[in-house]
Amino acid sequence: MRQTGAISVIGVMKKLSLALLLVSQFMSPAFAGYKVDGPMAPNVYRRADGSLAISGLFANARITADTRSYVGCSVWAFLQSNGTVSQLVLCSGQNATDGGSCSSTNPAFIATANSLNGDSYIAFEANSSGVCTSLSVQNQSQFRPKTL
Amino acid sequence: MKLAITGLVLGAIIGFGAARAIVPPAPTCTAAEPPDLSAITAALARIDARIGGLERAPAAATAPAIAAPLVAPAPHDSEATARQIASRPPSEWQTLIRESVKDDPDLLAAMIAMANRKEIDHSALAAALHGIPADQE
Repeated sequence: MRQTGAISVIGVMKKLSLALLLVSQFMSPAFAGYKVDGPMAPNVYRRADGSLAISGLFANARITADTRSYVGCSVWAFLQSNGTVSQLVLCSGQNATDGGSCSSTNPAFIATANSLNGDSYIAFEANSSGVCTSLSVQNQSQFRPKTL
Repeated sequence: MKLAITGLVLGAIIGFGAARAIVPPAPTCTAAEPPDLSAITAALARIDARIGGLERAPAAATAPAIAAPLVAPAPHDSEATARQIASRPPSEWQTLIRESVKDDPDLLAAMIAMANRKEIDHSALAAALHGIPADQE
């Protein structure tokens, strides 16, 4: 009879511990904060006039299920044949089925591209000639960090 | 005594004459001839002809000589260059693009436009442009 009572107390304590553990997980401050997951693969939007709009989160593109998705920009500096040094920016985005790019030698676009970091959100537009017409960079806390 | 004086006078007269015979008379302004300026005049005429020729030449004749170096070089046909590069294997694109862009910064946009229109493979072009491997498929 005394053994049965002891077992019962142990069982109650186990359940109580489990309940406390679950509550503590939901109260954990590690889960606080506004978060935006967004679409996983970069979005490629084609317009009738031949222009493109592409956007995406670096971290999301990195972990898509397909092996094609990516988005980002490169900045070049190179010596031209006439002796002057030129800079240009190239932005590209690709999902599983579609992709596009744009380029620009405009210093404002180059400066904007230089503000990208490893966890940025990027959106850019290209006209029908392949020239960048807009470039937006967002570095915000609600975006997930890139994982391996 | 008379003989001595006469000898002195005669000696002076003979000596003066001899001196005049040895030393030529100094030129005088009044006797000088006009200087021969024909060579200078001819040289000035030649210079004037050259200057005058330039100044008086018709505009049509001088314009090409002056304007020719100032005329901007013909714009690159970026689209044609892009198509030439696109006709090569994608493995050569990066090298060709990086060489050609030195003379034609608009080449990249032309190639990108082709890729955006899906005339060439975008993944291959992006790999060439960004220097990253082509897609893993």
